Amino acid sequence: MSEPAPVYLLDKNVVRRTVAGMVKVQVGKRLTQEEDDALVLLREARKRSLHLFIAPEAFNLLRRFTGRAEVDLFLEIAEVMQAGRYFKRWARRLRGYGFTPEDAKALSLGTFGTRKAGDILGADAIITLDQSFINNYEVRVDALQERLRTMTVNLLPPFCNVVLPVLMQPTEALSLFG
Amino acid sequence: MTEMRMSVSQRVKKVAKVLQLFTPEELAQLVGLVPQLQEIEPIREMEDSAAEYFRRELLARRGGKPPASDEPFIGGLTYGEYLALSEEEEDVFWNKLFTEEAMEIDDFEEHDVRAGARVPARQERGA
Repeated sequence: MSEPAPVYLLDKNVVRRTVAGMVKVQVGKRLTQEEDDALVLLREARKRSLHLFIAPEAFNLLRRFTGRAEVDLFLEIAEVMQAGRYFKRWARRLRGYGFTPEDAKALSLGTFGTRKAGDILGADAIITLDQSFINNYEVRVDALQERLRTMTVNLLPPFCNVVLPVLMQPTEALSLFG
Repeated sequence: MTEMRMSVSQRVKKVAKVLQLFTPEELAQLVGLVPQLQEIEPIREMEDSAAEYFRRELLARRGGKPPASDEPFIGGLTYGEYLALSEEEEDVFWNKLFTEEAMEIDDFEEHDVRAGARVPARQERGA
């Protein structure tokens, strides 16, 4: 049986770079490296049938602008990740580890996020351009693992099996694709 | 974006113009109808970049025309106005848009998750 495709959560800056890149390529404007990386990531995700997700806030923003070719195409490839049960509790606890509200929400969504069908829980990785977010996570990952284990050990499946997502830059994600 | 360094014939350019309107699926169908296309060794300079991949698809969706500069884009800007922003102005523009949609932790609605939901494999740290 084949492995289910990995789940990636894109942070808002990756969303922004992707949409901006899509606009620029149509008029021949030079892309920034981040925009180019974001487009490569999106193309690879599509070719490899990876599951790309965005946070509800980014989804709500883009939904206001459907009808634009770039927004429509992006929303055909990426879907919204909803907060699953325990999202709020975990997000509040993450705030105590020095994460900004924005980073706490992203990390909690990557841990307890799901979609409408309720058939996934959490992401394999959060793809972010925010190196300070990655650094803070790397410094605290062991403590976070332990805190998450304590919080979930007595919960019913699938919550007792939940794991922290990995955080990586788009270039690192692309290197995994070979 | 990738640059072509070799001279390209007029008839190839004409066919390329038509092919740029094709979706990736239509291009795949074309390869099925012209199997010789699969046997051709791609010229490195002509390999399809992600930028070219999306350029072709987006232009196809627009009937072959790039967005007009006075066409509304997002956040009250036209495409022309957006493309004229400096990098700093672009940062400010996107930050404003995302701030408008920002949610507090308690604003999120929590959804049910199935008992058999797919959970990522446990990562080995430092592996």
